[in-house]
Amino acid sequence: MRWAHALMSRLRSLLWRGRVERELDAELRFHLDQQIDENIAGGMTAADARSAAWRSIGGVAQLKDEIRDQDMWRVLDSVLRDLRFAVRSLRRTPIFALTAALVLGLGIGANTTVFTIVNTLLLRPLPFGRADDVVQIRRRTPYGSSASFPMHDYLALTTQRGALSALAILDVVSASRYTLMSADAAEPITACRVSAGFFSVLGVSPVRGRLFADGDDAPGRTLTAVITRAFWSRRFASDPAIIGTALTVGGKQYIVIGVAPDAVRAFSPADVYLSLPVPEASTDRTNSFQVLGRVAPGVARAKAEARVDTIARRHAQESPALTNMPQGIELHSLQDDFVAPIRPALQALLVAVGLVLLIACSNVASLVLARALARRREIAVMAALGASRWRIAQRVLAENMLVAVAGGGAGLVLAYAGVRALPALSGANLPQADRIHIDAYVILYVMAMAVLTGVVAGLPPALQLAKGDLLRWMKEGSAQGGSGAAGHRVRVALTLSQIALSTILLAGAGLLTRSFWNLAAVDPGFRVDGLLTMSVSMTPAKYPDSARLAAYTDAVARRLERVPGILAASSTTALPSQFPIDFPVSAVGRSDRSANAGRPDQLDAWYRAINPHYFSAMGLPLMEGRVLADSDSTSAAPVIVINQALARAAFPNRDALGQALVIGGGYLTDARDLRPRTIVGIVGDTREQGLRFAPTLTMYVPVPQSPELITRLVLEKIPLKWVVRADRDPMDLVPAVRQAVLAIDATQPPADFATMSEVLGRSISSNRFNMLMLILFSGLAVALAAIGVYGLTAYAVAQRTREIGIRVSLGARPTQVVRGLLVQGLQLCLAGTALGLVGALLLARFLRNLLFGISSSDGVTVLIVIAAMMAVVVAATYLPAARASRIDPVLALRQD
Amino acid sequence: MGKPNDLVQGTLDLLILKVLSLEPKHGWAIAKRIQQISKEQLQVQQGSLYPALYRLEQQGWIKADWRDTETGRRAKFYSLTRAGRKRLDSELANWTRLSNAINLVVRTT
Repeated sequence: MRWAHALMSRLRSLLWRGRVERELDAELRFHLDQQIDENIAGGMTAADARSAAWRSIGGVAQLKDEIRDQDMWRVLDSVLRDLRFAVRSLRRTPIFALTAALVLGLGIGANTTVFTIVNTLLLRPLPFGRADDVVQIRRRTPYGSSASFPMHDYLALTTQRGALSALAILDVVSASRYTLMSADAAEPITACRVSAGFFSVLGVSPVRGRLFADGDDAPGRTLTAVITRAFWSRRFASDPAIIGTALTVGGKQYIVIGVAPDAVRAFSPADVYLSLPVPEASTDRTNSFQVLGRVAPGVARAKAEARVDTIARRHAQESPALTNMPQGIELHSLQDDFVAPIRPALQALLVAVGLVLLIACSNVASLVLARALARRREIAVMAALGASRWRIAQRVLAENMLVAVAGGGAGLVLAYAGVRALPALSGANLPQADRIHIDAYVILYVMAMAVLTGVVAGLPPALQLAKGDLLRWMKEGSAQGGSGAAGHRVRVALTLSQIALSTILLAGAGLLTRSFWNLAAVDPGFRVDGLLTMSVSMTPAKYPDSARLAAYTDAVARRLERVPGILAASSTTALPSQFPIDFPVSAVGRSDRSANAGRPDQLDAWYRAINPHYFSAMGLPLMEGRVLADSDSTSAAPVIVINQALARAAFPNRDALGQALVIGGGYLTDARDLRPRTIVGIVGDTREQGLRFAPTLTMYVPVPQSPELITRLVLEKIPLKWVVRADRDPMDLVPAVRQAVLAIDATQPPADFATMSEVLGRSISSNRFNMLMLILFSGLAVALAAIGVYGLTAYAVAQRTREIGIRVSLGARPTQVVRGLLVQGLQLCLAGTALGLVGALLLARFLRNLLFGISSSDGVTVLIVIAAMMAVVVAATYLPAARASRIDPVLALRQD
Repeated sequence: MGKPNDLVQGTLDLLILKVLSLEPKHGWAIAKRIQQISKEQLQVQQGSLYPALYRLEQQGWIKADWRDTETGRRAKFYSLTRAGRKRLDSELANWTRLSNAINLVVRTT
């Protein structure tokens, strides 16, 4: 009962300090009044009585201080004493302290690194004013939704009132390559063309000058540009005089009006934002823009969506021939759209590091337990001297807290290093990698983790001790004899949990690794090695039509092929795995039927305008017919080469060679572009949409016969790409290639040099990142589990030294001793692995979106995991077991 | 009267426990009672009485509650807990032993 009263009173003074003070005031007041009454009864005047009473009581404030001190000192004193004791006892066993802190540090560090990413990408809003209200408008399609819009549909959406407070249209590729011309040189930069509302949508304010305002995008107005702060300082040394000067970008002059803050980098890595003239009316149906909006204050997103959707549908009814949004639109939070691609990977990583931390806790708990049991005599003495069990548990917890705080510190250091290494590890797959940093939330998270791990790792041993039989411990002495079946059970359970948790992680890492191999083994359909790629941003004004572009590309290709080491070169509208252009194609001869049947007979195929040597440069095999030639000129009969997939799709039961195709029906209007093109060759399939997908339907058209609209589109929006086949390391040829390209036109500098394997690597490197992270974490987990198993066996051996000594002296062979311990280890391993595999099956759904060509319960992976776990457990058991077999029976028997 | 005789450390606790063993009392009454029984030999100062009461309450020997006095005012009454009663017994035994021992030494020299 006493402790209950004591606890209540202490809690009261801790929690209700104000109320305790008031009570004390009232009590002293009462005392004072009694004294005054007595003084008056003794014959004093009222005034004298009062002052005499005040004198007798002394300083009220001092009195209160004294009472307060007593209370605080008591608590502080006991905490300090526990901590001093913990420091002393940890210093006596530095190896234990360091190991435990390091193990927790690894767990906390891994967690903090991943939490830092999650914190920046999923939890913190984008650095825009009221970022929740920034939405990406998507049009519904039969296959989901698309963010690309034509100018025509944007103009229809601008008629909305009240639902969105700002609306902007911008290039669908938010950071395209452009050429910045200055007096002495041409340099490649990234830029995005945006309409006037762009910065109002983001809700950012200028660092200097002004941002785009209403009317800046009216046709015929002076073209203006806003540069980003980073570009301003990098390129112009933060010179304020840059405002008002003209930049020549992509062959057009733009007047710089202001500098945008770093926040816009969260949206796009563009260096410069160019004003995009928005016409009064448009019949352009190409989906080459995206549309952003800001939901008006006080309007719910769902409500805004409904209102804008109504406008879109009404517009679709009024002009069905011109719209690309017949099924209406949706509003998506920009933030959600940004993180959607990486969310499954982050969720998997969060689960992984959570498991690592659990293993670390369990590991430290068994360390603490082993140590505490080894100190049973010391603890029993403490108890005999009057320490309550609670007090002893408190001491164990205090020690653990100290270790956990040290672990938290180590974890923070590890996380700091981890976060710095992230951008390099992730390649381009982590959006906004440069925004990821450790902030106050992360520090708070680390502190919470440290306290949590301290409690989780300290509680099992503390409870174990509080239950122990102190008397027996006193008598038993050191670590000899039965450590208590309960202690053994707890340790076995802890080790089991470590094996099970590591198995889950190993299974995850195994699945991802096999997916990665599957992806890497996919045949792209052409020769990847020895292929150099680059891009050249063309100035539309200099090359206004297909004929002039063809003359330029042919000249460059010929010049390149004269460079020693270059076997073939060709321009192309898009590289494999990169943003493609697709157009409808229809087979001639079925067009009369398809006119009645409507669109279904039209196929969408990737479009590619190329020079004659494209196929030899790519190493793309010719299956039938011929490749393109110089004779396929502007004036020659229109021809086309298609791949096998397109041939099968367009001519299911016929030989495609010699047939004709019409491309761009519904988009192209020029009669010349709509002429049937004779199929002169059929080439092998390639995987264009990235290695994850099936071969795409592809058509190849000679540059001089490319439809004018497509040529203009390519020149304005997407830089021209080049593929160059080399007979040596292609990167060695970069200087010569650059020189050759500039020799034809010095104002069109090449950029983005990369080997084809790098280009393709980018399409699978996000898988590489996930795989690397999971392998790292599961490696960590297995290492921790190995330490756990080793510790358990080593402890068991130490405890049974005398028993083993007796058995050896009675004639047991060392191998028998080792076998016994190994069998025990393997039993543990099998049970743990089985538990872990069940857990892995349950958690596999976190990985489903990341797997390729493999099911989440892949048998081979399971077998590999079991084998790996077995190997680790056998190794971890064998070392201490072998030592036990070499025990000298005489020494063992004489041991305390 | 003058200053109270220097109370041996811990003696005040014993006196408080003893006085409270008969019935619950408020602070003022405890001081008065000690003064009265000791025939004005022992004067308990508020400066040591209230910290002592607070300490005893924190240790769980005594507990406090607010009641009305006979004059109708609210005052904080202290009473012994069961643990406090045991504590009083052992303190008393200690005290008897100690004072007997001191008496022996003082008389024989």
